[in-house]
Amino acid sequence: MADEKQMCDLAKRLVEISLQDGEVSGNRVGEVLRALAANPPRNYKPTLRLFKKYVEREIASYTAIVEHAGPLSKNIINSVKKFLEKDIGRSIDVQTQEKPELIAGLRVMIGDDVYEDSLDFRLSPLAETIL
Amino acid sequence: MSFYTTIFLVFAEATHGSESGAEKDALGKIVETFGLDTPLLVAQAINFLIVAYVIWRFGFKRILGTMEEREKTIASGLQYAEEVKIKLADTERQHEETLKEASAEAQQTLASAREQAKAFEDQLRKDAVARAEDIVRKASEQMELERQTMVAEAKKEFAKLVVDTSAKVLNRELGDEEKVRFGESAAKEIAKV
Repeated sequence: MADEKQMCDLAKRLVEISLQDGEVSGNRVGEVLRALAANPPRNYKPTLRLFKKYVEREIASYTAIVEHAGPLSKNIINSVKKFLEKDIGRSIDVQTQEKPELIAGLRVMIGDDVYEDSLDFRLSPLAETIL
Repeated sequence: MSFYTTIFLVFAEATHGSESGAEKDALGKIVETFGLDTPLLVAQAINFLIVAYVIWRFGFKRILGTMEEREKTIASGLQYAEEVKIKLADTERQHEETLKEASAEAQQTLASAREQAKAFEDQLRKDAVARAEDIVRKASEQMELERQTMVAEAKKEFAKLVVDTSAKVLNRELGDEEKVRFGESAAKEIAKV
């Protein structure tokens, strides 16, 4: 239990070290990994797994994934980016993914939050009504 | 002269000792007629007494003793027979009582066994009925559950079919322009959240 807490604290500190201008820096992550390889701590592999998990979570916290069906204009991307940056209070990255099953509309995921307004989403109440 | 005649004369003489001489003569005649001889009579009497004593002492007394013993033996045997008879009667009575008790006990045991058998049979019947009802109830519940599951799956399939059909129709009907417009509208809706 105590070991696990120590591993979590260490992994979080390593993530903080890996940040540059509020974002995860590839170079810093590389340096952290090299330092760890040179002086491996206790529970080396679990600590690395936790570090990877926290890095992914940190990246996800400022990376918005915009799923869409059909063409996606720059206006839409900018609009979403602007809204999210205002909502979160920091700059974010936007990644887009084509999802034909949405039929039309958007699904935006950032961190643990999901925003969606798509025809597939609007059709789901229809299924619930039938059920 | 016989023994009885002599005795008669002795008694007669003793009884009528003070009577007249005529009477004495008559007696004398009688004695003479019967040929009584006093010394012989006395000797015979003594002999008789001796023989009587000897017979009494060595014969009759023993016979009496033997008879008494026999009587005692017979009485003892009779008493023993009586006791045996009483014991036999007592034994028979006890035997009858024992038989009665055994019979009553057997009847009671039989009645008890019948009651227990009946109770056991009733219990078995109740258990069988309860099990049968339980089986029927479970089967009914299972059937109802399967029916509900089937209905739910059918509804689910139907809903999926409806949604899929709607999605295909919409996907086919919507052009890129409409999709872009819908995307912009969606971006605005998301921004309102």
